[in-house]
Amino acid sequence: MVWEEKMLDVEMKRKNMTTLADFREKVKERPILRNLFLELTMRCNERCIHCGSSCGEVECEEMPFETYKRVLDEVKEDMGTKGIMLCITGGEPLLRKDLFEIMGYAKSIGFNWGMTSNGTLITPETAHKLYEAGMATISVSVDGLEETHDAFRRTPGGYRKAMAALQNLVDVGKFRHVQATTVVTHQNIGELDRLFEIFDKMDIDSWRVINMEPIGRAKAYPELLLTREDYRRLFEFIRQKRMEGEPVCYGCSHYLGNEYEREVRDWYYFCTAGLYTASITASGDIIACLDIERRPEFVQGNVKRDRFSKVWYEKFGVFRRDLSDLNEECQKCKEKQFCHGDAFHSWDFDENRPQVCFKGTLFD
Amino acid sequence: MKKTKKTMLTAALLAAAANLTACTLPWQNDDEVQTVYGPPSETAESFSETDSDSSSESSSEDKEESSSLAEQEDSYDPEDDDVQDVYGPPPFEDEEETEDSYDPEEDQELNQTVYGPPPEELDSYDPEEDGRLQQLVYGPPEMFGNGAADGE
Repeated sequence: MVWEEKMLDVEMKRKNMTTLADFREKVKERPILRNLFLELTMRCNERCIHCGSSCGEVECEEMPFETYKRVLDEVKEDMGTKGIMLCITGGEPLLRKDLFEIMGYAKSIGFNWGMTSNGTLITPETAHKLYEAGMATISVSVDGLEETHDAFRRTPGGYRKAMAALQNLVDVGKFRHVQATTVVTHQNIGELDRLFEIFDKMDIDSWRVINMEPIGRAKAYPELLLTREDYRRLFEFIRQKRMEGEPVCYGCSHYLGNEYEREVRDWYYFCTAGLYTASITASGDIIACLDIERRPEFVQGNVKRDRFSKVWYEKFGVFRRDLSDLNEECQKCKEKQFCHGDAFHSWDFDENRPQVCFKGTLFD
Repeated sequence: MKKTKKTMLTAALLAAAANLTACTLPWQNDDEVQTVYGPPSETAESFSETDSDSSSESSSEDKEESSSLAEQEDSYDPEDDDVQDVYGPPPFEDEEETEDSYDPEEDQELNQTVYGPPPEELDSYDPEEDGRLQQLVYGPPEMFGNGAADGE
């Protein structure tokens, strides 16, 4: 069967992507904060090969509860809490013993929040405490079958703890969404079917399957990056599962072209860094997305001295632009109206080119 | 893993596009499938909100009455499927509204969901009850709904 006959209507997709591109232009002029990432710590009890932040190897002074309280009060005062989702990440956020105090306060003043975690510290009691602190959604990392996961994350026993964490969270029965996330590499792509069988037996809400990105620690392991054949295999896997009604989806990264846009996730590609998304690092720096390379020019301010909303509205110009304008090949590409140079986090700012571009792999 | 109204709809759309409508799909005998094609196209705009609003409802509480999947298959043509629009443009867009009519300056409140419910519905807004805001980290952009609100 020719692929054009298999997928959703291309004309519909391009029409919708055009509408989205127009919407993006408006949001560039008037950004709307929807996701505020709080990197509570850079400490981590794992040493994942693919970590974009090289967590566990970077020392960083953490901000105390009082600082978070002030920042959250200011954000609420200036921007409200409606429509803003706090996204808690790290490192491993649960290494902060005051996480429940910080996020419980956030919830008490009206913020909703979700978290990413390696799950190693999520006992049944911790799962209940997370619920009581107001956590609504969570994604737990499981990066392969047991041997692969433990080796990839360099944590003996990590897989069993992560799977136990998912079950502990499911057992609470009250979270809005419990998700497993798997980073796919050239090494573990053959484990997807078996992983699906395992997750299918659990009562989790979804499984997010994403490719390893050439960022952070992963740069030292280029042999783990997906090949072209791996990418097509990955996206066909996801699409097939979705055709079967399974809650499997790709992540938010990368423009996928006519064939796979809207088919492997419930939305079209839209890099929200600096448009919908901002982040506060563990040291208080205000940046766009935590996956973006931590360059000094990308730091827009610091909550220790700046009011977050002022920085959000008056700065972030470096992110409210099209990366495709920086590259000659991108400027000539007919897909630039939809990809805009692709994701900020995978852009090579030294060479001014996208490190991940699916032209030639998924589309012409 | 949990199959939801949204995953069923996605599956139906993808399967139909792949011309697999003649096949027996695993869930065809499931009563919940009757909601797959959702409300008629003229309610597509409200459907996108309904989809999000139902986030706190279990599938057993869904009161929609739709044709069965089998009945829809015979005459189904993706070209005519306005349901596709549900997952297309942002919920705010209707047939009469064009991009030219959008004016960011008219978005009065900084804390209003731009493409969300009319202002009068926000007067009694309670974050505790707004399923649309409880989003997955790395979930979909806001205008595409809420990764945590799929028919829950």
